[in-house]
Amino acid sequence: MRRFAWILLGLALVVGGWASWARLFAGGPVAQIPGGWLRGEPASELPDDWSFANRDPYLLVESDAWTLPYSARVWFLAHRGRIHLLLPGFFGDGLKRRLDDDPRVRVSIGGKLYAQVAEPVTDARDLGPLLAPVIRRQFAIEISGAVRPVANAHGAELWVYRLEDPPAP
Amino acid sequence: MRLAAVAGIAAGLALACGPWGPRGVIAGGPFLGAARPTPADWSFTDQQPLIAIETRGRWFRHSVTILCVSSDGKLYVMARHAPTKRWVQDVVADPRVRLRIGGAIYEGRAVRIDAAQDDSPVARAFLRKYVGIEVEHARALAGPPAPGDDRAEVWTFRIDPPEAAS
Repeated sequence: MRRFAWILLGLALVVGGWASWARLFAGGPVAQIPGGWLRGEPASELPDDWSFANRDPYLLVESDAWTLPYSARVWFLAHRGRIHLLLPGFFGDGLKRRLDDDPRVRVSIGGKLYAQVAEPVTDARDLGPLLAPVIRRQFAIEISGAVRPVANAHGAELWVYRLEDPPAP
Repeated sequence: MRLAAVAGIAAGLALACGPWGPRGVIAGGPFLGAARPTPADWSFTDQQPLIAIETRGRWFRHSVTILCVSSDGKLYVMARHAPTKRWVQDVVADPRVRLRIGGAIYEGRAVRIDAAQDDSPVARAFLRKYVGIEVEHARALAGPPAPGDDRAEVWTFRIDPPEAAS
């Protein structure tokens, strides 16, 4: 019985220790599991055109909105020169809820960290050209023609944010 | 030292095959509970953003959280980057699966389908459910991507009723 208790304790320590490390000190998300502070070198200047980011399938985004830092690997597309985040509700809305509280984020591209501000995109006219490349890349579905938002019975929404440069200090 | 090793092994086994199913993005083991009869119409799953699938691996049952969509009363499950997914490899080897949907368990048989067609109703249902859009045209792309194409390789399985026990 005592041995079993020790095994359980060890199990809890291993799992808890790993989870704490992953959540705070791993330098970013571990696979699909959200992480803490992103590791990287702060960028000295912000690019005018972010299209170079499209070479990566995912974007690492960090929010410090709440007590603990939070970073996640998210879908994105650099469209018309700006990075757009696409946050599907079915993967959890952890980042979305933080952006609602504080839109300031840091994104990691090529080992560099860039400060940005996330602004929600609500204009349906932008949806088609914005979503088509992402849907093709992530779901292997090609879409064309008119695109219109529909209300979902179960609320699996997709939130879109455009990243803008932060105001000068 | 021995205790830590035992704890590590136990932790790995517990996460990989504990009898509690998946928790979010963390895989689990077999579902606990008996299966209900296979429904004739799966459209009730439209209310469930995520479901869990239990597959039969060589040694252990394995379960993960996946996306699903119903179309014309049938249920479809998709795997992105399919060849790399353990549950997909399990299903290819043994199509018998169990699904946990909203607390209920159902048995079924996963049959891979060729979803590539113009204006695929499954693709349209998927976009309606998970992206929240209605599109004029939707075409699912099948097969592995060409070199230099960064799209995911998506496999689609239809969930059929389990084969009757002989």
